[in-house]
Amino acid sequence: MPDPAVAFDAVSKSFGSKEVLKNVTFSIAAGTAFVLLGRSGSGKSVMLKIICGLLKVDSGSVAVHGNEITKLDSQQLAETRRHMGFLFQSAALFDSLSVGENVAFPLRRNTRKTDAEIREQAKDLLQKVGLDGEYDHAPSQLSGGMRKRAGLARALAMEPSILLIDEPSAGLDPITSTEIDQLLVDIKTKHHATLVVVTHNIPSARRIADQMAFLEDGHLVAQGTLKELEQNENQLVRDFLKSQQAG
Amino acid sequence: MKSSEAALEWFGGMSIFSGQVLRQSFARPVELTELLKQTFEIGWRSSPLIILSGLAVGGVLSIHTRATLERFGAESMIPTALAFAVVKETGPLVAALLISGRVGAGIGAELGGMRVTEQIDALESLAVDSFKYLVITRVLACVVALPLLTVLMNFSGLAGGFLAETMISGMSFSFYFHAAFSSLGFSDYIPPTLKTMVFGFIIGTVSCHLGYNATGGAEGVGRAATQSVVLSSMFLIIVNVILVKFIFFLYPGAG
Repeated sequence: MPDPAVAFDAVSKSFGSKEVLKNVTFSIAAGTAFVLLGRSGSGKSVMLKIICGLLKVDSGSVAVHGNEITKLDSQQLAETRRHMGFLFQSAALFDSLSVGENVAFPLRRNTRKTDAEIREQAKDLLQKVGLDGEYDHAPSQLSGGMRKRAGLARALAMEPSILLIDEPSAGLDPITSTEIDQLLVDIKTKHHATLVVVTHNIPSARRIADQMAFLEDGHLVAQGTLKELEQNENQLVRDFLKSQQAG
Repeated sequence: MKSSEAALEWFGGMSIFSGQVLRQSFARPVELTELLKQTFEIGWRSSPLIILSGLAVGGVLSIHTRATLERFGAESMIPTALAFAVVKETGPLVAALLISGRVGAGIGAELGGMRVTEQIDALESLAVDSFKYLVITRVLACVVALPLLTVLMNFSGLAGGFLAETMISGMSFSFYFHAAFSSLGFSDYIPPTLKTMVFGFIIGTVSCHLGYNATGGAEGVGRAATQSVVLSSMFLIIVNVILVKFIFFLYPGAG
């Protein structure tokens, strides 16, 4: 049986006295879309940062394609990250670069392509997320939703095998949100990429997810398909899904 | 008690950070493009400020020196006295203080902004060593730029002194600069100029430490910018005392 793309084993994480993750265990099969649900501040974004090695766990272990992320040296970690894409909640575009150069940045750093090839590829990526014509604009000239899409284009640049996405629908209109969701599903299908998505948007989760998990107060209280979660014995999980559907 | 604990904690963090800077400054690969860009930003873009300040400081020093030496009928000593004052102490220190204001605040705010908006995390997620890319390049740029800016400050200061002196007494250009430079030796010029590399290290390291580890949103960014200026200025003034003593120890004739 192949290694899962991501595996958490009894992971705990605290910030000061606040325990954010408590003994969390789960795994994500390669080539599937895994959606993390939960109330704000429940530790979902922290999980994405742990997978990318940006935060260290207090106890437990996290494996990415079978390699324990906490035991990698800096070069191995960099190599692992070259196969990951991360869309941050705030998009985290570099202020000092244009939108196009933000997308081109990972290509310039990690490939030997010519300037013209990189520029062309960055333009294609921007077109994919509906931002053609924005190459030379500064990130500050874009709306929140546009910045998010530019961040997604940058995350996709290296054709990652694992894509970590924090709130892909935040700040997007329903039509663009649907288009982005479709783009993510296409990437998963075409490139066999593993998606780990944090979202509050249930329609979006329904479109993307193969598996879902619900995080509450640092514990993973439910895991399964959307249908399984809708029938989960935990009232909070059912209420969360219902309230989102109503909204 | 709490504030002393916090101060100790800060110094501990700062010491570890400085050690990391020293260790990684010589490690490969070198972020050459970013280093050149930062050297341009810190060095070249600071040059108008340095030239204008140098002219003003040199002019004022000249006026003060004249007022004092005139009492003893030693006006011809003005270029020499001014050259010693500018080259040995005023030029290096004023250049460093100006750069700590302009560049220190800029680095603190820029890196602080990048930290609180997750741009540093984004760099790491793209397989970039953010410490080497952001911190080492800025510290090295400060170390390289400071001596060059000091030379610029020294010449501007002497030029300012000459302008003031020629307007007051009509002193000739050739007499002024001959008198100014003929009395300066190696130990008067090179060690004080090279000591600004240490000032550059202090400005770069303190500002990068505060910005790189900033927390608390916009308020934290503001705090990082302000503290970068305050602390790097304070440290370089204190370290200057030690360096001057050290130069006198190495070159007893420097006085």
